[in-house]
Amino acid sequence: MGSDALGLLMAGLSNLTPGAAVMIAVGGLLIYLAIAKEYEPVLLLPIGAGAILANLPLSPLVGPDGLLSILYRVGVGNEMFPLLIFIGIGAMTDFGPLLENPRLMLLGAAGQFGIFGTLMLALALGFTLNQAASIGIIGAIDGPTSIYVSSRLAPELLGPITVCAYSYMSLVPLIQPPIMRWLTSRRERAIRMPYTQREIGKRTRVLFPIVVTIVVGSLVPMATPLIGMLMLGNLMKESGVVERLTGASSKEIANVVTLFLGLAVGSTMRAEAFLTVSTLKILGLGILAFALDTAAGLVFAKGLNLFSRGRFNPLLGAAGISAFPMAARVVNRVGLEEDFDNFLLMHAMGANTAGQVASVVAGGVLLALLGAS
Amino acid sequence: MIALWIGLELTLYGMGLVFLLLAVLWGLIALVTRFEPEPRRVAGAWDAAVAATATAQASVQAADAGALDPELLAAILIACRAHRMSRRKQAAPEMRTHQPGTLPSRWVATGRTRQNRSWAPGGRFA
Repeated sequence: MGSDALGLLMAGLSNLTPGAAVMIAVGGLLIYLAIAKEYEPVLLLPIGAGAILANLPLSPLVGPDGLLSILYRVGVGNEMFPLLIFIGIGAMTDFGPLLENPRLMLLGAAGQFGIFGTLMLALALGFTLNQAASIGIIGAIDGPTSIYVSSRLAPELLGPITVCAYSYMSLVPLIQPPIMRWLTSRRERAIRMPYTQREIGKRTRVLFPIVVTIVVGSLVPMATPLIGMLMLGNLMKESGVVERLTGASSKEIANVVTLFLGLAVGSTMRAEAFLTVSTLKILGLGILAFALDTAAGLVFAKGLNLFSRGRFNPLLGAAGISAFPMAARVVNRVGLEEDFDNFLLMHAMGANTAGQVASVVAGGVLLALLGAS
Repeated sequence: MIALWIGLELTLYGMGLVFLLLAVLWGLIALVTRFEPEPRRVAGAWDAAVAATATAQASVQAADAGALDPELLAAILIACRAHRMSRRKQAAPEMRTHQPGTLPSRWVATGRTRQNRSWAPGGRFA
């Protein structure tokens, strides 16, 4: 065996850089979190695998014709994957609790403050406007929206933003409760809100996605792809006449696209792009975005409680985010801690679905304000 | 400083637009649901009282005529009914009428999901 052949065999090891080794460890950490802690495993596992595959020395997968590069170009570079996932989310979401109590829509709006608050903080830390907006969108607490907006405004930050959005989303039960307890009194948390299930007819359920798409699409055209796909999935579900399409969107298509999206995002986590001070700043700002969303929602709900003369439980404000249904379950849980017989779940579900619509609207508004084309 | 000013401006316009859009949606949804067919009317308090009295009289006659005054029994029935309605409004667990295997309401479904799955990763707070 000649020295050339030996060199070729050892090419992998000789090209392994310390940065790549660190990123392989990061990929391993994401896989650990997905398997051992069950933190958003459906996405963190493929992202972790993608990060490892992309950082292996001389990996052909991230070459010009490599699988991961192709997946990135066809699905993330042109925003197709997040939009396909939105169809599945729409097909899986029941907007009934929101339709029963549409005023909860305002809680969804208040829950988007984290986007803009984080944007200002990112600007203060020296990020450019587009980068700051992309970091701010972590506050939408909505993975596909974060990917969609950041891939348009700052594709160079896509990796850390996506990892941040998805990994923190699974930490909602740990991030939210302390803020809830800090900003509300025991008496406020124990406020009971009677719930009476109101029948929402099929006509309203079918009209809802159509009306939302037309109104939001007309007023904020930049939000049309996001809201249009979300509502298309919901329209298919509520119409009840295309069960095969609904099933495929919410299962097969969503699963396949999630796998491809995870691998493609993981492939952006190359050592030279990921191991920077910016990534650390983004990780810190991501936590702040979640905290600001929760705090703004709670403060707004406290205002509503004041106007309703003490009949509105301020905890519901924390559910006005897009992390569905985790935020609603956390709100219900914290409410039960104060009063074992106080069931806030269905109200919180309404606020939570409002947060889903609001995060998409906020993403579109942000793109429109920054003049993204 | 200029960047921060731009950020503040974006925040004001952005949050304003988000609130405006969602308020418009609120109004439209309220309008659409307004034309929903009325749900089946529940019998009024008077009807309930009459029905309860009739039931009480029938049960007293069927059992022991001297055991309870029919009016007292009617009052107890009305109180039970009011308590039941109040608990139903609170969506209390004992009001779940769907048996396992039946098609449940959203409330029952979420209740069952909550029982079956931990809300926190790793079940640490379950």
